[in-house]
Amino acid sequence: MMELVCPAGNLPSLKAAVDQGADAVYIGFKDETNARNFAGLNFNSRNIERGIEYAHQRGTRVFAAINTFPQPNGWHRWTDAVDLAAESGIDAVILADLGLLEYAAQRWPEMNLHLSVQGSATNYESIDFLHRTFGISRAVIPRVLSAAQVRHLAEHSPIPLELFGFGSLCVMVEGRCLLSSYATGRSPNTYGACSPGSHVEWIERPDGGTETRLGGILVDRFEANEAAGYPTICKGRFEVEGKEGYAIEEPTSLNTLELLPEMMSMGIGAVKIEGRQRSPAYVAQVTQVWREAIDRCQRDPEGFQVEPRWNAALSKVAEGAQTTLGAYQRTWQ
Amino acid sequence: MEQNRQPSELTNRPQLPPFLSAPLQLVPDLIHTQLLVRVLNHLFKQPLQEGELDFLESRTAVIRLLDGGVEFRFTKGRKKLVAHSGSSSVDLAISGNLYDFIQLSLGKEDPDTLFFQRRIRLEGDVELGLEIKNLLYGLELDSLTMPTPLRKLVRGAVDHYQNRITTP
Ligand code: SF4
Repeated sequence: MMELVCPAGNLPSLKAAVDQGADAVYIGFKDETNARNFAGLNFNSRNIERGIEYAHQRGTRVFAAINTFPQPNGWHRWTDAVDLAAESGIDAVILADLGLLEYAAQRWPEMNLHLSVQGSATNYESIDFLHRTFGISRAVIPRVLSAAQVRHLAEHSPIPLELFGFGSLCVMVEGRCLLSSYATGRSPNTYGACSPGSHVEWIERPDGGTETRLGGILVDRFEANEAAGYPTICKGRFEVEGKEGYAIEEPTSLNTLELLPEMMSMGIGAVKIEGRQRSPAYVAQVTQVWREAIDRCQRDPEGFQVEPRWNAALSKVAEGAQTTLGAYQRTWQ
Repeated sequence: MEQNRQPSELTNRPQLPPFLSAPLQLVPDLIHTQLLVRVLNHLFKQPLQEGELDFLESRTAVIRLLDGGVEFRFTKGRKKLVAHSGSSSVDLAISGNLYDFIQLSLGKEDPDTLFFQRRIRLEGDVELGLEIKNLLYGLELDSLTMPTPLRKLVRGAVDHYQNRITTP
């Protein structure tokens, strides 16, 4: 069975995901121990227990993402997060740092460990190593591999793989990127955000356009009728060799609905939806579409066709109001 | 890899018919704001008591209803939200049309979606904006004390309006 794993930045989103039929929900804590560290978002010790209780009563599992990389002066914040998750009765923790994997494996030998996408395992030797060394039972695969590469990985991996199905993208092998450090002095894999709110400026222009700056650097200028994206450097428009355009990546969301039969034939264990920073409305809309699609595909993989209304619903909530198959569609390696 | 290197164009931005939003302009902004603030204080009673709105203290946010031609300036006083009357600078401005604000406040639309579609605009202190956004969506609407008949009425009105714009 292929599991549907949905994001929740707060209690109402968790409930929305559970109610719409997610098999598992993943959450983070209110600090830099996770990769969606935004003001007012995420769980604390009070509401994590309520969230887990709500989910468990309805047969949904809850995972905690503790997937940034601890710095020498903050090690205990990351181990505290692992302890809090374990003590609250979490079903799995999603980790990236080797030291933290070692800590969790020693301190909580019964706990399920998943390798985070930030851990960036792109070959089965590394998955096998992490499985043998720390006992990881699942690996989330970076959004930089082609479908053929994923198939190869799935054939040889000793544990089930989790693939991203929908949501905003990171093109730099998942946070291994200096763009935001350059602009803001903070790195996505240690601070937990590549566009910290304190460094973002939106400037409205009299003609209805909008200017975005990150750490003072002009990232983009949107005309009044152009769709916008998140204020990250990688999605900005720059002048390169006299031409203006998206130099690295454009504001767009991954959408792999049409690959579902192929993913099932590879034996992929779970599909992950991005977006812990989004609202309960987004979580409900996206979970509903994917639940229906996965159920349909499981019943009849050969006859599976993507409903236009599914794609319409997903494009509507997509970053930049458009979607892409991302690296999966690449034929070159 | 075939990819569209231009941003996607936006079409179809729903607006409330002018006869619904226009009457708002007839009432001075401060009166609207006092009304809004009273509703907000009612809705946010518990978060206020628990200090979850303290981040708004001595900071001013303004909500601008573009089609209604009105704006609400407010800040947090010692105990609750208060209307802000002066014309001093604001820390955060959120602007959009009435229809989109109704969708947002009912939890029917995702703020980032409306933002990508340029239907809601954010200016000023982005951190403050994120805090407000996440506070609103972290609240459990059903446990809020909006009287049921009122909520039903608003929901019904929005559904009705939504049907009208989606079935031409
Ligand atoms: S700035 Fe872009 S490429 Fe860099 S980590 Fe963030 S999302 Fe990834």
